[in-house]
Amino acid sequence: MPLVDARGGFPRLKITTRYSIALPCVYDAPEGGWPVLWLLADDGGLYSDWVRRTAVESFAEELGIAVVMPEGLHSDYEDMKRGLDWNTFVFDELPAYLQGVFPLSADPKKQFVFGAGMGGLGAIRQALRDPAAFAAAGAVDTDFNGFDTDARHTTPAWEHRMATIYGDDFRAAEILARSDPRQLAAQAVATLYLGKTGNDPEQMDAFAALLGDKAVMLTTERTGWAGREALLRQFMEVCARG
Amino acid sequence: MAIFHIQYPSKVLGGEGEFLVILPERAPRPYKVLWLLHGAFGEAYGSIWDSSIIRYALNRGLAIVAPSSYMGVYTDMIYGEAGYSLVKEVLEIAPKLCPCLSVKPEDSFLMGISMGGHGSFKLALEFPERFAATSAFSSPIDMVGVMTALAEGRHGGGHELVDAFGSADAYRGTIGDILHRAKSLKDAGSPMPRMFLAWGDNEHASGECNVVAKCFAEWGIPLESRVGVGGHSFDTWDPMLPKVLDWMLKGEYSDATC
Repeated sequence: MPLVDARGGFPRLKITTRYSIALPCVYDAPEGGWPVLWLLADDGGLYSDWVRRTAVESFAEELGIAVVMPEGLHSDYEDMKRGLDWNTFVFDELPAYLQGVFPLSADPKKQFVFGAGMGGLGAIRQALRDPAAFAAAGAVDTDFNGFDTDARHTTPAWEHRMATIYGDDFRAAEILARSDPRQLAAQAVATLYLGKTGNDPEQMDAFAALLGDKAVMLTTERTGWAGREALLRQFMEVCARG
Repeated sequence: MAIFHIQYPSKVLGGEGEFLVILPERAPRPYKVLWLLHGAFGEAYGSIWDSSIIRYALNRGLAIVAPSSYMGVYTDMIYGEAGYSLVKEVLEIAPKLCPCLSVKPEDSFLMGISMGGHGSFKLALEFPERFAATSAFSSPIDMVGVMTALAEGRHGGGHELVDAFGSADAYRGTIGDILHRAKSLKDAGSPMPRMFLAWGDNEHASGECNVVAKCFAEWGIPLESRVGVGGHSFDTWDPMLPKVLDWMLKGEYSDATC
């Protein structure tokens, strides 16, 4: 299976960035292009993380799904108040560009999004905001409580991070309405897949409870990247089944 | 500009092959393509690192595809890699993986550096209907002549050439016998891509290149040629690269080009 190590500049993102693409095979893309999984890196993660730490290339080949793996630095995959427009880049600019370069489908029914940690937040939140854009979305090991006022989310470092991404008034009602995944959960119309490894089951359970019957839990006893790999595989099998 | 380093399962190698695809920002799709072949002992990045070819090509709306042919010397070696089949494999699969790359002959250009020029002429003359133009810089176009000189102690090449080509007799008359191939096409009245050969005035390949230019002239085969100032290096070739690109694209070679 071909693996593409890509780098290039994008007008809206403004910087030169990097991403990986795993294509299912060299020859004979299906009419209309390959189904695409947009697989997002964790907080501070690299475009190469999923390739280095999982068998995603083999999954792409076996299941016939192209996998595009961008990185998003520390952005929560948002258009940052103080920073770059990572949301526009990952969900608009990059797909539009790549669909003109590689044989990738532009059909929303063949678009999937998944991520670990911050990548899962980006995936689920985008699917909640724009449910017509993806056929399936999922997250693993994701903290959905970033806007909470508990001890973990009120440290100076965390609040500085949130202010960088969302602005100083990041707990204002209009920002919570647009960006807090717990509030967005109430408007869920499609099934969302939440991956539960041995790492942090409670927080995924809590978010699943908010989603109600719109949540499907993917589970594994494995932890760390082994767990993420197992859940990625399960999610991609769901995608392949359509 | 976008640069894609693509690794893929190569049927030819029986392992992993690689090539670069470099795309311009503002150019109509499908992109015109410069197929860029590196020199001996090099790999796909070689000509990229040592020259300004990316800037020259992208400024002219050309995409670049640069395969790694390892030490395949653009032939299916007697002892070694199938270097020519490997490049032909990339020629086939790159536009399948990147449909934004044009496969029209009028949009397809070859350029080879040193040994890469053997490949760029060999491909152009095996598939004259596939390319608009080809170019070579200080290249062993006439490998039969090189192998003859090597056998007679008049050439400084190493055992790699013997491993690859065997001998002059073994290579004579094959698709890589470029003088023979060019004359055959000429005699048959078959069209050929436009061809450009450049070399330095102070280097080992100047004699070989001169011979090729004289043969083509004698046979009435159009070949544009220029002699740069310097040796067998990118210091000599780099200033000529944009001029040769313009010649391949527009038929004009201007010293004012940059």
